[in-house]
Amino acid sequence: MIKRIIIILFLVFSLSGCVQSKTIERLGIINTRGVDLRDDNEIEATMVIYKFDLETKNISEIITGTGHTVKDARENANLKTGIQLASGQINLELYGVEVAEQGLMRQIDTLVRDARVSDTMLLAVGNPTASEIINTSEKNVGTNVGQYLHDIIQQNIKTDVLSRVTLQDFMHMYYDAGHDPFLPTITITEQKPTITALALFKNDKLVGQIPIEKAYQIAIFNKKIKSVALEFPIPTKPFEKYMKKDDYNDIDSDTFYALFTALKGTSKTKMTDVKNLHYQTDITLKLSLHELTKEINVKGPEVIKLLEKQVEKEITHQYEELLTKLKKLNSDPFGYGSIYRTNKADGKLKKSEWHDKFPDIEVDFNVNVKIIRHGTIP
Amino acid sequence: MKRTRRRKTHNNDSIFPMTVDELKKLITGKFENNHDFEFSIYEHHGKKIAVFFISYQVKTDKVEDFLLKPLLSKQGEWTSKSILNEVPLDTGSTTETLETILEKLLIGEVFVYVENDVEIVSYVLLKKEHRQLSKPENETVVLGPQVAFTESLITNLNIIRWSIRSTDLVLEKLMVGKRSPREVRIVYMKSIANETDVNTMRQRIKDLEIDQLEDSTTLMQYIEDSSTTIFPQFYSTELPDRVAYTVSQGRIAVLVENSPTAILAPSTLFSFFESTEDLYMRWNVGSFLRILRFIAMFISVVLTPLYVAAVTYHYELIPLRELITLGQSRAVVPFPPIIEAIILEFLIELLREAGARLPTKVGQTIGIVGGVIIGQAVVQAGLTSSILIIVVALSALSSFTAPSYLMGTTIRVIRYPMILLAGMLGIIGIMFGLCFLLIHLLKMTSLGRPYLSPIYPFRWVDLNKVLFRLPANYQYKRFFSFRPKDLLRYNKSEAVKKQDIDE
Repeated sequence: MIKRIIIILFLVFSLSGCVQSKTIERLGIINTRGVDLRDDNEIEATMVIYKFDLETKNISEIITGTGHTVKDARENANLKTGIQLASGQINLELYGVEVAEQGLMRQIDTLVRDARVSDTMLLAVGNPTASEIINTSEKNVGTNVGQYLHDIIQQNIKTDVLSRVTLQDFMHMYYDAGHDPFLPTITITEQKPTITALALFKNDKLVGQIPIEKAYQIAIFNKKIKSVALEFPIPTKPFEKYMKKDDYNDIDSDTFYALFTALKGTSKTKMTDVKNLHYQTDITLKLSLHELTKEINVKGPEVIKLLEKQVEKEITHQYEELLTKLKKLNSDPFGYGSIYRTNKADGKLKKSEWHDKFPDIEVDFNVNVKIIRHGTIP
Repeated sequence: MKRTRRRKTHNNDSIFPMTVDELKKLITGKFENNHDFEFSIYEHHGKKIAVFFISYQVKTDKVEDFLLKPLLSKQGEWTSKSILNEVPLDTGSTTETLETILEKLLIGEVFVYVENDVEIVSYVLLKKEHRQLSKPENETVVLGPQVAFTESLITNLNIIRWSIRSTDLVLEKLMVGKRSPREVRIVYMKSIANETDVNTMRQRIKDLEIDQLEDSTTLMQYIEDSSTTIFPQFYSTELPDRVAYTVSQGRIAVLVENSPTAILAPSTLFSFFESTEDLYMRWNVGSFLRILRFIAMFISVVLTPLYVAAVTYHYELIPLRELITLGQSRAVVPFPPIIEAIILEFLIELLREAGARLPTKVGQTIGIVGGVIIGQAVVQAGLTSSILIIVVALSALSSFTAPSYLMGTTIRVIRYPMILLAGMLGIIGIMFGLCFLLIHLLKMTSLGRPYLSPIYPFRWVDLNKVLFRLPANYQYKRFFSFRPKDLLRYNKSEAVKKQDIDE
């Protein structure tokens, strides 16, 4: 018995091949990858890699490769380095606008297949191309570009400007019929990478963008928002009585701006009429007033009430505007389609079916704003 | 198997009556070249009286004062009966066979023989040298009694008797060893200890056929359930309070003559991580310390292998910022991670072993040399990465938190195959190793009781004695998994009651 065990153990260790080892100092660890489409329809991958070397202090480096697939482009880039490129620590993948317009599933496919790639990696769109974003950032930001870009997005997710845009979220929204994915867009403004817009997709194809300031309107559908700063234009006229005396005379504009932070923002959507695609969405916002561009005496409940009413009006207006735009783009990042599907008799919905129906939906936005803090007033 | 039991003295084995000269010839023949054997013959009222003993085994002043004086000053003849009656010593007994005489002679009895009598009289006047009671060295505790067992069995029994002042306490005596027998005591509470356990222990010790017994730790190896395993199956302790507590909870202790440690049985894996200090602390602090030790054990077994596996195969597991520092420090090292880890683990083990073997004064310098100088130099020489130093130090430190030295050593040894597995197969190897250990532990028993109880077989009521502690009013039961005769320590409803001053 023991003899047999020894023989088996011996065979196990001598005949089996060794697992390919990936010792970290011999790897070029890809941190961020940019994917662009070249004119000859080949993919160009721009990769920010970490390599560990004694001589150089600069640990991150940019390498590019081309190929018909993303993996092929990586192998192509491998020819240019003495280290093995590994994608297990990839944190952020940037897609050029052109690639995104052609559809992202072809590129994302390799990320989903690879078990080493983390599902919590972030995705983003680079405008105009990913390689431009990465290269310019490297020139102006300095070392560790990959981490820098990743942190920009991560930080804005944390402060509720965006909702989560990980690989898993994208896949979830893509495969959920009646829900279209969205990704942040990074552009270079004043030589620095900046999140400027939210890219909207129809299925996996980029169809349009909305400014990043309005991204909270979509985020509130996906999560409870807690810390985002919101700025609204508010007409001056109703507030004339509450203005400071010396300010009263020089009304130079008919709107002023108020800045709030959301303390708690939730949304709830009901389908009121399944046949005619009528929805009712309740948006509840608890705000804290931070700044006003006009000196208004906010002492007293009636001013606050008035302010709340004006903000409600503004938000409702914004939502209606957004919905019209989305209908035109035929992209549904809110997920109204999923709600339709759950209310439907047979509970089945095809993507194309929803894209036919989406332009016809009607939504009553019922916004409920409460200003619960406004700071001390002298 | 044959039992090494002393044969009963039958009359037909008797060597008496005989003359004193014959007796001298017979006994000295058995002690050739033994200069310490004293055989003196006295003439008293025309009868020869022989007195013999081994000089350093006996308190000679007592022999003179209480035996020889009355013996020689009496008017009239002596017989064995009158000696027993009139000599003012209370340990007298009579013997007839040569075998028993020799046996008793060795443990320090003094023999008196009146010529041509049918039996010989002996007195226990033994002298036994032993060291003073001292502080525990291996199982140090901050709180609680600061006494450790000594090599003297009498002293140890004395301490235990004072710790458990109960008529229920049994200190059963057995002799082990054919060539040079040693006294072994089985200690248990008659009314609590499970009878099956006591019988098993008694039978295992009785069935032993060995020439001699070196120590309680060797006895442990002779009677344990599985000799192939790396895990100790009985707890070996030098703390009398631990023995007293364990015995009063219905388990069995075994003491061996000339051994300063007691064996506690049955033991579970978890009992090796319990310290008596847990009991002396408040329950919440005690629980914390106990859980800390379990975590420490896990860290000790898994941390270094995990480093090796992560650095060799699973770079995606390491947090990104750590990956950069780790990569930079690894870039210096010319070896693969597995060699690097083994070098450093080996170094730590060398330091520990050297520190334990050297005298205490020199041992302290070893600590400094090892910790400060070698640790620094190894990193500077580029033999290991600086992060590995932390990993190895942490896992070595963790292994020392086990209150049982035997278990601590076991855990340190387990680490090596785990490192090899991690180096060859990555995390799959670690999982393989852990599963192997788990299956092995599941199969193990201690004195026939499952080694992993109360986790397997699962006993909800026993968890509070093993994994954590609860306030006294919840600890009213004994350890159910070991089936004590009396499960309840005290009444639950009484324990909950608060008795304030009656007005």
